[in-house]
Amino acid sequence: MSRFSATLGEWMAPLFLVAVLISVYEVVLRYAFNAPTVWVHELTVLLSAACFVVSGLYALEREEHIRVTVISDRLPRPARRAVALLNIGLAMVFLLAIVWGGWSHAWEALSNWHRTRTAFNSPTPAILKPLIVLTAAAMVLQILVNWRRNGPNR
Amino acid sequence: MDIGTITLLMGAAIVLLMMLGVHLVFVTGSVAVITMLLTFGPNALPLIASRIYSTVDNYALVSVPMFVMMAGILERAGVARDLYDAMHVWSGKLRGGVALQTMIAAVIMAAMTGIVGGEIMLLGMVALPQMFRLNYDRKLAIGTICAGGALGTMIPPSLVLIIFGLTASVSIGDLFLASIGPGLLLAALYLAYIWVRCWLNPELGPVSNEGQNLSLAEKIALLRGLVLPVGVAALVLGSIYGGVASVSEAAAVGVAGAMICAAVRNALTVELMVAVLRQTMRICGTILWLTFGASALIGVYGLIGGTKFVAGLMAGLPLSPLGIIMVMMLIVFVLGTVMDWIGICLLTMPIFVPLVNELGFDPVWFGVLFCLNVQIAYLSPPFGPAAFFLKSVAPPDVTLQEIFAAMMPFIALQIVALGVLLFWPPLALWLVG
Repeated sequence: MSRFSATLGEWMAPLFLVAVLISVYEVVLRYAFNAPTVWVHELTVLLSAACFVVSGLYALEREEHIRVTVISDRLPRPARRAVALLNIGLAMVFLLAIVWGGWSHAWEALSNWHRTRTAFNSPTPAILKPLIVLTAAAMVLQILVNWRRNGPNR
Repeated sequence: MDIGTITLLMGAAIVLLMMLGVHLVFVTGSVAVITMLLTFGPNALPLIASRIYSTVDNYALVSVPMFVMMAGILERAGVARDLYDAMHVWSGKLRGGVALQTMIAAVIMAAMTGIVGGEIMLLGMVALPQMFRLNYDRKLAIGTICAGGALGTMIPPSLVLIIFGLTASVSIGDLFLASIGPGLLLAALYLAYIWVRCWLNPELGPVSNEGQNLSLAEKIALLRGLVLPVGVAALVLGSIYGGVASVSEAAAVGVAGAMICAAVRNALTVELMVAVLRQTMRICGTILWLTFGASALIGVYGLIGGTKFVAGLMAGLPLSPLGIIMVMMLIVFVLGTVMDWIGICLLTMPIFVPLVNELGFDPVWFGVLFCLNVQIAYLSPPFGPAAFFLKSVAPPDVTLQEIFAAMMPFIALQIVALGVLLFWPPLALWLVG
């Protein structure tokens, strides 16, 4: 699972660079050749948004999500374990709410291949909505894996 | 249960869980879910996923990873370090010269990046040992680095202003322009403070003779290190100001410019780009998911009428409109001592900004005020992130107590700047059309 999270994040990261390159391409086309495109804007959003969603899983695998550690670091070990369990519980509440509340819309967007109805008409909803649900589900697994990885010392 | 009780319970739960060390995204997210279940039942749950979708499906948000990449490339390619060395040329005979040099370098770096952590750590590694070696007053040296590094949020491009603009539906370009005046005022206050202190007491910043023996050609060679990064920063701001490109496009151009800077220095390698992209992914993961949690929370709170409740509460205060703004700033300040700025921005601004508009103030001005306040939060104990960034790279004998003590005069200057902007909005708005 950890390897999946890390690899997925690493493979998705270059999409940011693609977004940069096409945006520069758009600026050049528009100002040098007066020929704006219809697809750069939407594709940039889609690429970045997909990265944004998946980046949560990547940051979770690396345990980089922000938390206030000043007090928890000073707690005795049993209390820290309790906080770790509480963290897992609350993470589950949030992530499962995303999955549970989002999956039917996500499935609908995917099976009907919802598009943005613009000039470019990209399938942004059909890709992003399921991606949000799948990422949240993957984060549930990753959080359990992190817990096992850290052992009983947390 | 009435809305006041719910507000208190939610607030108490958030503070308690946060203090215990639960990840902020899960604190805000789970409190949102639980509130939703208790008030509306499970039928409201789809709201959370749909808010995430509408958050990420936003063109302006694209500028966040791009500015992170731009900063990462310039930093890793050694451009920032060169910039600092170039400043050395000017620091010659002045009392406190190296501290002044550090502050000016910090301002220019701030214009290349919107991230505080990297800037403070870099200055901490490069400038702090140098000032200690030259027998500078320790507190002056430490304060200079932390205050200078924190300018990263004040001088555009700034992630704080981007997130504020998105939350409050205010033009990010306008915010960038409006923050230039107050940012420079802050820098000028810092420079004047260092200069006056060293002038009154030369022992604080001894004159060094290093750099005096350089020939003119050598000085010019050093200054070359300045041209490219300043050019990139000017390109980004110029294209926003000139209306040539949107903020996101300008950010993309900035990344391209940073890559050219790196290429000129033969530092544009695959390893560098991979490292920068992974760093971008990590920073986005923490920022964006925090946004998801907070946006779920404020969404629910708005639905149960909380936003109106707080706005009504504040509008009902027996205060002048400016007094209400001051109360808002006080709330942000108090939250800033314990909470991350993204959380504060996402949780309070949807409540404050409509009220600010209603009172007849310019939300752009308010955004810059908020940003100045975030500066103070960066330095102020007990959770000032600037102190922890510096501590992680400083020599071991520098304690957190010493760092926080060193920041006090600079915090006072920040409060002065906040006051000036509060009573004299043109400081921010003169550049905005």
